[in-house]
Amino acid sequence: MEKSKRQPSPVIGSTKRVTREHMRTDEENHGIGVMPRLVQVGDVAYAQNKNNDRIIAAHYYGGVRESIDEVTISYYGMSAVKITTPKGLEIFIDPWKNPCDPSWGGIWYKMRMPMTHCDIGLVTHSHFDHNAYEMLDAGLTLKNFGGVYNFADFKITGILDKHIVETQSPIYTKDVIRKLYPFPNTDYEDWDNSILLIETGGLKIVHWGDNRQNPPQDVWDRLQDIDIAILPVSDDGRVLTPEWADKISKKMGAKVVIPTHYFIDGINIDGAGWDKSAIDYASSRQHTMIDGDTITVTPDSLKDYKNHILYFGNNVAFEIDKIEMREQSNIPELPEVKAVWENV
Amino acid sequence: MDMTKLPNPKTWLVPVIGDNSFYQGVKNDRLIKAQKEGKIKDDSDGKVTISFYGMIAYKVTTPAGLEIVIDPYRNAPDLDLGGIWFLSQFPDTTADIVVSTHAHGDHDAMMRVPASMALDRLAGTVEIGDVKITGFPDKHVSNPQNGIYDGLLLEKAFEKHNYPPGENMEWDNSMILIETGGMKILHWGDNRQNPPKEMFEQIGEVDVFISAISDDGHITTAKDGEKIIREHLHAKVVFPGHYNVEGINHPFASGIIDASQFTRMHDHTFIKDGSVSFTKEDIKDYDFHVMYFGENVDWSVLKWPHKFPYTYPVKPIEEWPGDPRAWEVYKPKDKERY
Repeated sequence: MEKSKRQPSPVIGSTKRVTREHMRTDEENHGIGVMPRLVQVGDVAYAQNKNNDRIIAAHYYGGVRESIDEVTISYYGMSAVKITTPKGLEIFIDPWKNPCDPSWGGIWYKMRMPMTHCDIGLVTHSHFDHNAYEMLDAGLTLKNFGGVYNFADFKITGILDKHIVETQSPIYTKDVIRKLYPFPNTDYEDWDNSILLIETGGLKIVHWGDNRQNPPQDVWDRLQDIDIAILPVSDDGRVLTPEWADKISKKMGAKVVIPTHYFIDGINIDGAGWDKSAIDYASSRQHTMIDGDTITVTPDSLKDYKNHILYFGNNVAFEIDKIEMREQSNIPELPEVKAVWENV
Repeated sequence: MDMTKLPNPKTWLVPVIGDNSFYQGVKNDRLIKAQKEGKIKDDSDGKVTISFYGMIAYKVTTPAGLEIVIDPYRNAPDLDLGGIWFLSQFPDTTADIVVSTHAHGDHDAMMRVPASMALDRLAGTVEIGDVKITGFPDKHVSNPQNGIYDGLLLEKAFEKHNYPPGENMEWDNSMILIETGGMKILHWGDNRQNPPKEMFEQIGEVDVFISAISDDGHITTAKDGEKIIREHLHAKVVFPGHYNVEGINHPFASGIIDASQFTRMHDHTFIKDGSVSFTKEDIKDYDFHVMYFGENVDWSVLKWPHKFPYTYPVKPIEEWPGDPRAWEVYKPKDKERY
């Protein structure tokens, strides 16, 4: 790697132009043109109110409670899930937000993901529907993780691969994805992604991120005898089509599949990259509709399943702000003008 | 002059909070190689390279070529958090993994480093390629006993409670232990001088100690540092850190000075470059040997020639290039005013 000898700007929050060796033209860049200058706020964990006492406790005691021999999984919309290990460690994967610059993909969400407590925050890749770790009140965060991570009563293997490009869905072709996701960071065939394999409580749980359907063989070798596959599958095939989800879950030998990354009324904005949930995918296969936002699983409770779909539907672990727009029968009077200046 | 062809390229501003690696041209190709093959480069001399970037930002390059940057710095986005500390942003550098020990501006500028993987306030162990990184979660120093300030003054300055219990994430710290090339390298961050003895037992003896020892004792005083090294870590090589470098640190930010007195008090080497490479064999006979980078960082710092007498070769204003009356392209052709 080459050393740069450029003197950086001393100004706080200064604008840094993204430089790349081969700066693309407008046309090559699909109309995005040149790179933006960034006003970088960066990490804001200093503003978190919690501290690392739970992490220290887990470091010394291997957990924060007696093992309950169960793993719980809660759904937070999009690809966001919180996995709680038997000894109480909360692992949150892929918090979402609207993009910092709406000209890149538009506004996708009607609401913010609420600030959420967790112990370990994980990001599979740096797209805004997965990387909002500033919305986590996290003890520690691992971003785009690769390697083997051992802590307390769990083990996470980050398997580094690449993001999906060609969905083979009738709607979301490569060109549509380019329009929706005009990130000028890398070549379109070359976005990064980490598949996360979480082993805890005797279960092997895979969070797919937005990985491509055809990772190399050594990735598949690590993804064998999976209990729970959390896959970004929806009826319109925004990331994985139902067909690809079937192939992938079969290939991993997944006992249970949890669909994510689908349209949820009240969270997602129509037309911003999706329109459909995963209801048809779930109901046309052996499935269970989950009544609630959290499931509790053990190796024993899953042992008879094979490629069984557990579908959260619209149940997420926070309240969705819904604005009721309806015709009013009584139009209220205007409020009286308050003479606020007289109180001064 | 054609006003559409200004020297600055057309661009637009994007405010980025949090993760910015999709704007940075970051790719995980090198880490994929490390994960598949256990190494990035083929020709290894078995040496570990330690490079200094100012403050307590160090880069550790493993024998297989993985680059790990720990604690890049910035001015905190909120000036209430101690004001301006740096005269420069963290330089453009490369890395595969960026690590931050805690959420303070002088340690958490992960967005300035285009690394494809970030470990923030790590606890537990991470293994990839030829490196094992372990985070030891503990607390930030709150009473450094340096004769300049204590925790009570800090509480006043930050208007925040800063020691356990009830402190917030800013006042926590994870010490980072890097095991590579057969060596144990500990980065102290801003940890308190008295972590629990169990933690010292878990860390054990280390080969290289990247300390926060400076002469002003902003984080670790020389006295506490010696105690930590002699009684617990038994480090062969000690790097001072968290000290003032001209052109990087603001001269009046919290009164930090250099670490040359501490260095001279011990068996030492003044490193003449921004980085140093060695194997375990090279340092096996050292005991508490201080390797001091001083002002030598691994990038070119602009040092303003502000010291008297001024020696900077100043061009006379008449010889300065450009057009001082560039607006005259709009001058009316045949009259004084439009």
